[in-house]
Amino acid sequence: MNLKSVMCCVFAFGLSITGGAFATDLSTSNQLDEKTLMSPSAYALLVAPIKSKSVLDTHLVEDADSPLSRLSTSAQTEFSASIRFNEKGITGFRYDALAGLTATDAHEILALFGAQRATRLIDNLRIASDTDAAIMKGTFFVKGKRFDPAARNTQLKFGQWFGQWYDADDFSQGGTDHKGYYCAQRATCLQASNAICMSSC
Amino acid sequence: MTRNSSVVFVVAALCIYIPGCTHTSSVRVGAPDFFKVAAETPRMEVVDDVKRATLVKAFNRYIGDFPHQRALSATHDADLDLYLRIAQSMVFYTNMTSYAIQQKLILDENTRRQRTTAAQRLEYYESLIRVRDFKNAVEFAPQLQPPAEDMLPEMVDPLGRGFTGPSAWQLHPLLDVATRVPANLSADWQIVVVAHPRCGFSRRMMQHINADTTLSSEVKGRIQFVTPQDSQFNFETLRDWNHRYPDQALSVVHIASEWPFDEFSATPITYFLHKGIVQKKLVGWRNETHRDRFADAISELKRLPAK
Repeated sequence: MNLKSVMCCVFAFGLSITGGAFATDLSTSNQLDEKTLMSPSAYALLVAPIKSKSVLDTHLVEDADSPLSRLSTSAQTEFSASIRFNEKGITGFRYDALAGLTATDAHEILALFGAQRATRLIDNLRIASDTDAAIMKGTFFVKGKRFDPAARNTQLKFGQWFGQWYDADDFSQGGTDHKGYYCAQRATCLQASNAICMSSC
Repeated sequence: MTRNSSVVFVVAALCIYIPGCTHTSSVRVGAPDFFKVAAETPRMEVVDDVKRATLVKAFNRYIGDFPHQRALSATHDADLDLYLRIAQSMVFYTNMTSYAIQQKLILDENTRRQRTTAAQRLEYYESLIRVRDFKNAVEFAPQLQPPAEDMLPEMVDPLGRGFTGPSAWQLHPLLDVATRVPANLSADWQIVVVAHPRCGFSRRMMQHINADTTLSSEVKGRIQFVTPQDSQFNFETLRDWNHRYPDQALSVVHIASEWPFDEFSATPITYFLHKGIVQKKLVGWRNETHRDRFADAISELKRLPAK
């Protein structure tokens, strides 16, 4: 029996034992980035405009309309200084300076770095709209496309069936962001108040 | 009475009648310096005792003390918020119950004024988890809105408060139960890894050991993985991890300071012990270099006399 036949059998078996639920899984596959088969969070990191300290510094000088301009000068400095990068982009940040923003504003700031999925972990954000409320429940947007936590859970089940797609909650492919920790230089995750160590750390 | 002393007298008299006056000046003046030290603390890549001492010193120097319970009712709203943030920071970096008690007193005053936020309640819940006051955490949980994602399982503690040796919470693989068990560190050689599945470096380490059959068979039965004493219990996450990687199953440290380790606030950190005494410490896990250092440390341990 070749691989294709095996996959067909597995697929049919999946349909037979999970019925409608599995069909729902298939219909939500459009939540993933179809071209790259990446998880939404990995895709967000890939398409993020700022992936290094030098690009951040340039952005702060040149982009007057940046979402970062919603922060006071001192908060902007504090937040920017707290961001850690590796060769792929952001690995962690402190969020004290974002306190008081709406969830949507914080989401837009974090989207600059591909870290918007972590907005829900931040304390003291304001909820002033339905979008804010959804973001604080785990929804996030990448290039205008919406990803909801329920759909992500479904994708995780789908990923486990085929071992092909993954979700940020899947340890083998990256794990989840670590609130209360900071990505440290000694190749450790270090406890830090009001900080998030990204799964990319 | 001199002119200066008259001014002091008048100011003091006014303070008695102006709510918040008594504590306003000190906390507002000292808080920025305190928070500056608190913000720098994670960057101090030093052992926990040094961090704790630095924070306590900063607290004593810039804040002095929290207002006592009666004075809280006369404290200005903005100052109350500052005190709350300070108490939360102190709990975070010291793991001390006394600061969690202060946090609760301030939170209660805020609640009396109907200005407690959901974030403040969540922070207090996390403080209770951090200081391992699970009983109060469970009782407080219904006050959280939205409900806590990090719900505690049933916490079974057969050791009780009297036991002060190193101990950790073992998670039941199927039931929502965690049981506190003593850590046996008396073997001729053994390894304790402080790790967390939500830490990329920790995952890398545990997966490297798992994939390396020589290394994993060498350490089998002699290695234990524990998570630090922190603000989240992460029962679901840890149980999921333990299910997937039974050879790297994690338990949750109860009180970090009861273990013979100088650093529990970063992951991964590996302690190599000979009869309960730390011989070597390996910090972090980046690449093959760490794997080699890990293997070398085991060889050194095995060369030590068994009796």
